[in-house]
Amino acid sequence: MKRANWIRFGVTAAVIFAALGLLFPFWPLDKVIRLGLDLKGGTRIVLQAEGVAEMSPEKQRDITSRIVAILENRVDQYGLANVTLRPLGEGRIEVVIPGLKDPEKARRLIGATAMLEFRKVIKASPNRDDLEAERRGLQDILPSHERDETGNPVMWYLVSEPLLTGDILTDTDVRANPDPRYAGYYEVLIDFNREGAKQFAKVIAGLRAQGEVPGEEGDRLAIVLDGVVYSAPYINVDLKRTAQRTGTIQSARITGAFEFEEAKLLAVVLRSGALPVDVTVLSEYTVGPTLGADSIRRGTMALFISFVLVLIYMVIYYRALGLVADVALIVNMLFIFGALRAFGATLTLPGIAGIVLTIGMSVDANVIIFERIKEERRIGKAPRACVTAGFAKSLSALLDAQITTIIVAVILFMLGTGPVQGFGITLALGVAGSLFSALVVSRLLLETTGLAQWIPVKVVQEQPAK
Amino acid sequence: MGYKYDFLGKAKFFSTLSLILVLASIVVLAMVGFRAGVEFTGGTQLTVVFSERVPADELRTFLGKFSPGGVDLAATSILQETSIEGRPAFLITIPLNVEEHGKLIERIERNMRDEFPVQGDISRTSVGKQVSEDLIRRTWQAILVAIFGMLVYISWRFRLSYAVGAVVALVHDVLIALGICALLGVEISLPVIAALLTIVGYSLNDTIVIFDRVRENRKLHKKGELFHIINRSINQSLTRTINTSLTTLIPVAILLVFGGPVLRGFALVMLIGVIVGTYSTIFVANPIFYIWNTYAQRLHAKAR
Repeated sequence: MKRANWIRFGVTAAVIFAALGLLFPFWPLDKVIRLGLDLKGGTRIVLQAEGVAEMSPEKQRDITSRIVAILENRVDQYGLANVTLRPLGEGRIEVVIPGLKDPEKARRLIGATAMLEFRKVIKASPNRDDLEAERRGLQDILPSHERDETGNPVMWYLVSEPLLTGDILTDTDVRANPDPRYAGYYEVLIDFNREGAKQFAKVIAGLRAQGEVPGEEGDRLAIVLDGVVYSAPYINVDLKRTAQRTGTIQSARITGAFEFEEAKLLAVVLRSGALPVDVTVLSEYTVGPTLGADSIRRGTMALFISFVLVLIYMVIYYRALGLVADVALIVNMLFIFGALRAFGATLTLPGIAGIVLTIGMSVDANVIIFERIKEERRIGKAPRACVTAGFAKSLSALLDAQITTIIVAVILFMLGTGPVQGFGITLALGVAGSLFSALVVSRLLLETTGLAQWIPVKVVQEQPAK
Repeated sequence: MGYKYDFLGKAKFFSTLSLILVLASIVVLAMVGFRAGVEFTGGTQLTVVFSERVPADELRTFLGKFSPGGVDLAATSILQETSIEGRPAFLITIPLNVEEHGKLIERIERNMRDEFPVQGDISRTSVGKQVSEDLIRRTWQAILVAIFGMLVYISWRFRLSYAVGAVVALVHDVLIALGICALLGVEISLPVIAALLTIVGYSLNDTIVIFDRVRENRKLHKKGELFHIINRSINQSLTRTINTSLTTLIPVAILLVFGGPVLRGFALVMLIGVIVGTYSTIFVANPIFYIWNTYAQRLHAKAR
C-alpha cells in the first residue's frame, strides 16, 4: 500500500472508531445526542423587559441581569430542573424549560413581576361598571384572583392608592388553611422584615377594624399581587390592638382557596422578590412530549428508509462501485452523528431533515467521481490510472459545488432560531462529511481493494459532430 | 464534437416554458399571495392531539365563543387536520399574539381541555409582533446575502457570465417553488424558508457541476464552438445529473410521506426545488450563459 493510502486508512479508522466510541450505546437517541425542544418537548419563552428602550446600554444590561438572577432564583426554588436563562440583548431574555409537564405554571412563574401591594378596599362589586363612576385620583379597579368557569373575575375591587409596597418581606411559607370551610386548601404566610413589620402595623392601625363601630364590618385590606386582588380580609380587632400597642406586626397571611401548587408558586414568586421592571412575553414555543415523540419516530423512520433505499439504488446502478459509495455513505452518517455528539450540538427535527437530505448529497460526490472514472475507462486507460485521474478531474467540481451548500448552511445558522439553526448545522456537517467520505474513504477503497477492476466499460459510439 | 442529445437547440421551447411558469408564479403570488406562518405574521398556532376524532366544525364553534375586540375567531382561525402518533390531531392557527392576548390564549387552551378529549399536552407556538417583524427582516437579509454570496463566489471561481446564468436559474427555481406554494396554500414557516435556501444551494450545486465541465471543455477545445461545448458538457454530466436527482428525490419523497405535519411544507418545497433545479440547470442556466456570451461577443465585435 502506498503511503498516502496508509494515511487515508489511518484517518478513516480513527473517524470510525471515534464515532463508534462517542455514539455508544447508540439507542435511545436522547441518551446519545442532545435533542432540541421540538423533539424532546419543552418550552422556550422570550421575555422583554418593559421600558428599557430609552435606558443606556449599561443600565439595560444591569436590569436584564437582575431579572435573570431573580428568575433563576424562582426557577430553582420552584424545583424546575435544567432551565436555562440567557440575556439576548435589548432587554430580552430567553428562557428554555425542557420537558415540562405544566407549561402554564412555568409561564406564570417567570412572567410575574411579583409586585406586592396592600391597598384599602373602597368598594367591591361583581360588576366592573358599578365602580367606574366612583373612581378618583390614584384609585384603581382591580379584578379578583378567583374566577368563574368562563374565566371572568368573580369580583371587582375599587381600591385606594398603595398603602404599603416594595421590599418588605424576608420569607414566605405555605401551610394548610386552618379554616374548616377551606379544608384541603392552602394559604401563604408572609414574614415581614423590620421595616415592613413597622409599616404594616401603621397601615393596620389606620384602618377600622371589624365591629369597632357597632354593627359595621369595618375596612377591608386588599392584598394585591401584580394588579390582582388575592384576598381582601376584614381587619380583626385584636390585630389592630396589637398594631397600636407594639407598633410592629411580624407576618400576614394570604388566605384563599389555593391548591398546593398554586400556593407554592405564589410563595416562591414572593420570596424571590419583585422584578425591577415588568416583563412581557414576546414569543413562546411549547412542544408537548407526544408531538416530540411523534417527530422523533417520523424523523428516524424517514432517515432509515431513505438510507436503505439509497444504499440499494447505488448497488443496483453501480454494482461493485455502488458498494464503495455505500461504505462512504455509512462512514458519512457515522461522521455526522459523531460530530454532533462531539460538539455537543443540538439535533432538531429540521436537523434530521438536513441529515436525510445529506444522504442524497453524499452520494452525489461519489456519483461525480464514478462518472469521471468511467469516462477515463472509456478512453482505455488502466483501472488504477482511471481512479487517480477521475479523482483529480472531479475535485474542482466537488469543491465548488459543496462550498455553495456550505455558504447556505452558514447563512441558515446565522439567521435561524433553534430548529433552523439545527438544520444549518447538520447540512454543514453533512457536506463536510460527504467530502471526507468521498475523497478519503472512497479513494482508499478504490485504490486498495481492486474494486476499480469492476468498473463497467460501455464503449459508447460517439455520434459524429454536428 | 460528438454528443447524443441537442439540449441547447431546444432551449427556445424550454425558455418559453420557463418564462410562462415564472410569469404564472408571479401572477399567482400577486393574486393569491402566500400564507405566512405565525412566525412571520405574529399569532398563535396550537397543535392538539385528541383521543378520538373531533369534527372541525365543533372546534370552530368552540373558538367562536372567544371573540376579543370584535375578532371572530371562528372565521379567522385556520384548522388543519393531521395525525400524531396515530391519533387524530389538529393544527389550529389563531390570529392572537401572545403580547396582547396571553391570558386569553391560556383560557382557550384550558377550556379546550374541558370540552374536548384532549390527549396529553397542547403544543403551541406563539409569536408577538416585535419578534415576527424582526424575523421578516432577518429572513430577507438571509435570502439576499445568500444570493449575493453565490454571485460573488461563482464570479470569482468562474466568470461573471457563468454567475449570471446560475443566478437567473436559481431565481427561476425559487420563484416557481414559491408560486407552487401559493397555489397549494403551503404555509411559509421557518422550515420552509430553510428549504427555499437549500434549493438555492441545490440549484447552484447542480449548475456548477455542469459549468465546471464547460470550463474544462473550453480549455480542451479552444477552437470549439460554445454551442457544442455546452451541449457536450451537459451530455457528459447527464448520468450524474439523473443519479443525483434520484438519490436526492428518494429521501425528500420519503420525508414528504413520513415527515409528519411539521416537515410537510419543508419536504414539498424541497421536492419541487430538486425537480425544478435539475431542469433549470439544463434549460435555463446554460442557455442564459450561452446567450450572454454570444451577446457579449457581438458587442465586442461591434466595438472593434
